[in-house]
Amino acid sequence: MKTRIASVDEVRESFKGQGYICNDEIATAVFLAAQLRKPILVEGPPGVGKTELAKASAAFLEAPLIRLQCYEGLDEAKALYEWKYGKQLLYTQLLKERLGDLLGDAVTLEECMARLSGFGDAFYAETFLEPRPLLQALRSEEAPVLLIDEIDKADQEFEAFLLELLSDYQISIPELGTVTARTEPLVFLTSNNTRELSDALKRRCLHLYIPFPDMRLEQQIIAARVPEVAEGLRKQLTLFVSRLRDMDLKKQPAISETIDWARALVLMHADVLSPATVDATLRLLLKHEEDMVTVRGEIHRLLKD
Amino acid sequence: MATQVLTEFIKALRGADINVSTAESLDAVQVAEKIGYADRARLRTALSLALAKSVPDKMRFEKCFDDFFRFTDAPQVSPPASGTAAAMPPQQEDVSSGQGAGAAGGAGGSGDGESAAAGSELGQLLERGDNAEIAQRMAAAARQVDLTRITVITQKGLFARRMMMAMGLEALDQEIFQLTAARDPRALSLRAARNALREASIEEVNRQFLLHARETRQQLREEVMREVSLRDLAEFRDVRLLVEKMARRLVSLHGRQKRRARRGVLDARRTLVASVRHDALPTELHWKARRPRKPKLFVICDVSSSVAAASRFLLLFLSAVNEVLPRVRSFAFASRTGEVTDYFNEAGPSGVEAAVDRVLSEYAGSGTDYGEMLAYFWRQCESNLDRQSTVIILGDARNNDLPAAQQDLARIAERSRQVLWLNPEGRNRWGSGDSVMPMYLPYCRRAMPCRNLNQLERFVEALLRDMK
Repeated sequence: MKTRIASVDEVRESFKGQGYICNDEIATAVFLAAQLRKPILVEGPPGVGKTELAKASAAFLEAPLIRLQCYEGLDEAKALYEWKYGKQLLYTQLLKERLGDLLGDAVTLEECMARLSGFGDAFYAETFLEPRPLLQALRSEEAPVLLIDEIDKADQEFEAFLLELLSDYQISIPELGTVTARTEPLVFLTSNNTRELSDALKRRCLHLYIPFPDMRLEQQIIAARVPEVAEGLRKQLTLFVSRLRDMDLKKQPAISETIDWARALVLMHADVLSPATVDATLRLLLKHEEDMVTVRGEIHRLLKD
Repeated sequence: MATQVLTEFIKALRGADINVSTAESLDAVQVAEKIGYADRARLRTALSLALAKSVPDKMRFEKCFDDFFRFTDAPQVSPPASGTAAAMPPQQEDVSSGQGAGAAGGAGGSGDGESAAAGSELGQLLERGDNAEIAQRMAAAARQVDLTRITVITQKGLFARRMMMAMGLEALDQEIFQLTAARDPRALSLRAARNALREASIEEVNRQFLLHARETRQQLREEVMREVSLRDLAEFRDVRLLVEKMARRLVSLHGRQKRRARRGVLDARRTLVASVRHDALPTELHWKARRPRKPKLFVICDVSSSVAAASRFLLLFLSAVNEVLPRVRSFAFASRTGEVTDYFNEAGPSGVEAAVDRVLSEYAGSGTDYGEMLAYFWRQCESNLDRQSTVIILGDARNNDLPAAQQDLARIAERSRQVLWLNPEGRNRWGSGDSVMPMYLPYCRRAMPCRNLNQLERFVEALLRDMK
């Protein structure tokens, strides 16, 4: 991983080069997190580019990205490590005869036990360990970017389990002891705020809130992502979307939806937003039938300059 | 020095109700070191990343930051311009020159050049008009006298004076004194600058007072609000905020435990059956699903004038925790009894306060008849009461010498899981005068006084714990 970052602006420029346009706050957050090796908790409405930020950061820092998607019921076995049960069973079966030979002349139970324990915990060694994303991140030779996506979907217990990782970059495995990170990963946690995260977790992280971008920033984003869109149309469509966001909708259009919409408009060779084109492509912006109905009646008003 | 500024800033943040832990303070110091103090906007962003951990916190943080770091815009205390001062006629001098003549006569400068060289350090600074330097001095002086200790508004003059002393007021006064005695025109401009400096100091003290006293004041205020009797509480404007804050704490506390309790104990029978397949090795464990309890809550509030305040807060509190409470049916009574559940359903979460007001005004009256109320409740709810029902009665049980009808309460208690009684009067007054509280006591699983928000919170907390 790249360790020397000169300034916040360097982060920003690099992101821009990758087509990830961001404000000063986001760049500062990444700069600080990389410098201080603190995890960042990124919150914000869906589709503002939280996951994208982790990807851009990984590219900027020239570090591998390891991703853990959270969901309800996610536990240590899926996040941290698991024993390769199948392999363990297979080995015991194959080694059965050898074991018989070894124990052959032992008469009493105590003797057998003593012999067996002499071999150590052969079946709970690293060979049988299946590393999951978190362990992978800790054992990685090169410091990775670890993305723990949608932490709010995971259970409260999992959040508590992460605390050790986030503050000390280490994790305790009962059979192996404490695993400390070879190289400290840069951790991104994202949350859609479906539930309040615990204070303990927040305390250990820098907290970044990404709101919907203002119109100027969104125009820059569209310019970077869909350069085919002419400037006039770009202005029009960001204005339209920002007005949509002011309406009382079930789901507000996110940046990713604005980008999709811009692409669609390019495909349709639209140079200017007319009520007819908006009506035909509205489905790309709005994902609920009720929202469609609400907006359809308002298209003319929304398009007014 | 920078660290001290940060510490004070964090203290101000805590005053603005943002919880900053010690670990986060350390983070802030590191962050500030990395970012530097040169770019104010960036420092603000960076500190916000480390210190404010939710959206409302971030908004409060920004306001607090702007308030706190305002003195980087240096106060204008320099004299207007040296030209103006020189143009002033030397005759327009202060009357005080007479007093000083004797004391300072010898030291007084005779020529312009000399007196400037002999002048006080602060005086030179003011004459140079170096606002940045002056601002720094002021900040240093503010730290020296520790403005964070200011707690009462009447101390402001004192602290401002101490600050100026720390900046070298004495030497400046001496200088002005001498200049005046020597009829030097610079005396006038220095005097003006001194006054400006005094105003700036007072303003600085004011600002610090607002920032720091807010912390102690808010804490103090909340403590007072929690302890004061419910009847006097309505006079506090922000009591609603406090109730919501208390309720939020309870909701987060109890919403969380609910998750944990989802899985029950080991189901030995099913585990054994499943183990048969694996040579009786219990490789699959089965758990008893915890049967979800569906508790019902009935709240009966006395809204006669003596108890109305307590009822008001109980209703507010219960609506504020409705996220974690099951369906609640509420009743109000004074001279007559009636169900008011619909008032709350119609009003929705935003109109709770209005709904409470409506209940209080429509059912207000005097001459409470507890016996009548119990009979009414029994008639209305007999068929709905079961082992899952909790009945909460709030009232002083002052029955105007009417029959207590405790047998009705006995029937209610028999049919339901529990009856809880909240009494706005202290325990020692239960049973005095026309209070029939002792007759009801045997049928209440718990009866407790609820005279202030603290007691009410304790009750609601116990209730929520019990509901799971």
